[in-house]
Amino acid sequence: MAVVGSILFAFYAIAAVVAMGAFGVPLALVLVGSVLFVGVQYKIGKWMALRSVGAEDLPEEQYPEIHRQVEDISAEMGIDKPRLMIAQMGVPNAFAVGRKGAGTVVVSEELLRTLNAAELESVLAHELAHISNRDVVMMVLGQGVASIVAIVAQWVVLLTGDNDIADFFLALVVGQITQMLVMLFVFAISRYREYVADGDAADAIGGGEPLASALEKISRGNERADSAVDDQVNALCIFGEGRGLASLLSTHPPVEKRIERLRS
Amino acid sequence: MADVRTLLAALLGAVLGLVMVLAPEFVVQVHTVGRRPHEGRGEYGGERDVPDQWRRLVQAAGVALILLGGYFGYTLI
Repeated sequence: MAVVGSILFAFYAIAAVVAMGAFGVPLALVLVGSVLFVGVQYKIGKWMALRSVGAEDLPEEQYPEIHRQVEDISAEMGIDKPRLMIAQMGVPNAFAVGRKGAGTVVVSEELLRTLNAAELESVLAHELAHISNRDVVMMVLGQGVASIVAIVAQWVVLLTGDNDIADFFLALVVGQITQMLVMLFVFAISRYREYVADGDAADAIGGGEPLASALEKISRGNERADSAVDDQVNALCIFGEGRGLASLLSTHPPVEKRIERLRS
Repeated sequence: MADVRTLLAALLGAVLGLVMVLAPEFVVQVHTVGRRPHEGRGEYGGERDVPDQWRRLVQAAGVALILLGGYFGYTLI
């Protein structure tokens, strides 16, 4: 984790040095610009996330048990109780957005129908751990670094070329490839943070079995649904099983490994 | 020098195009992680579910990149 984080920072440092050296941008402007870039991404991302699923506040009078669970886990983790929202997502799901003190946890109606109380508590604990560990901010930061490095790489190609059509094409391609390469490191961080959130959730609720059981239940349900729908779509894809090369391109570790760790 | 850059444009364009055709989900993830929710749409605990339209759009862009890469390669012959 420390190595991957350092590599990510090194990417940013190289981009910053190139921006200062090649384009004459002062350090203060590079830093202020970077913070603004990431800040805007964070704000827009949070707003879009809630809007994209049509999330609404989870009424406390209708779901008092969930509010109480979240209050207890938040107190256990030493964070403020986040805003709780509900949405129809078509599948059992939950996610966290925001940061410590301004977090939001969204659960899908399907998740509430699928899981029992203990399993739901474990999923909530996992999402609260993401907020507590600042994982959402970390991912925004990672995406910001990847985008900044890609933009700098693009401009270096553009400004060192003859401005013919091949140069514009090359700049576009180099920008995309650079972003992909940097994001591979962000994905590695993301996979690691998932294990950490699982561990923290297990600590907060006193064991890993409920989360293992929740993951098992959800993945079993999805296997049945996926087999009918995705065969055609996945025919051309090397992504999806979470093994081999595909595991490098994933943001989450394989569910089976998570279950295994939670039960060990 | 211009030829080396054109050759790079041809080769890297084709490589990026192939990645987009073979792993469209990865390409979408690259642009959405950190901008959309961590779990996002799709199954809990798994990868974000990428809508078919996005998948096909990325694959179509990949084919376009391969063709453009081929064109730049052709101009070098």
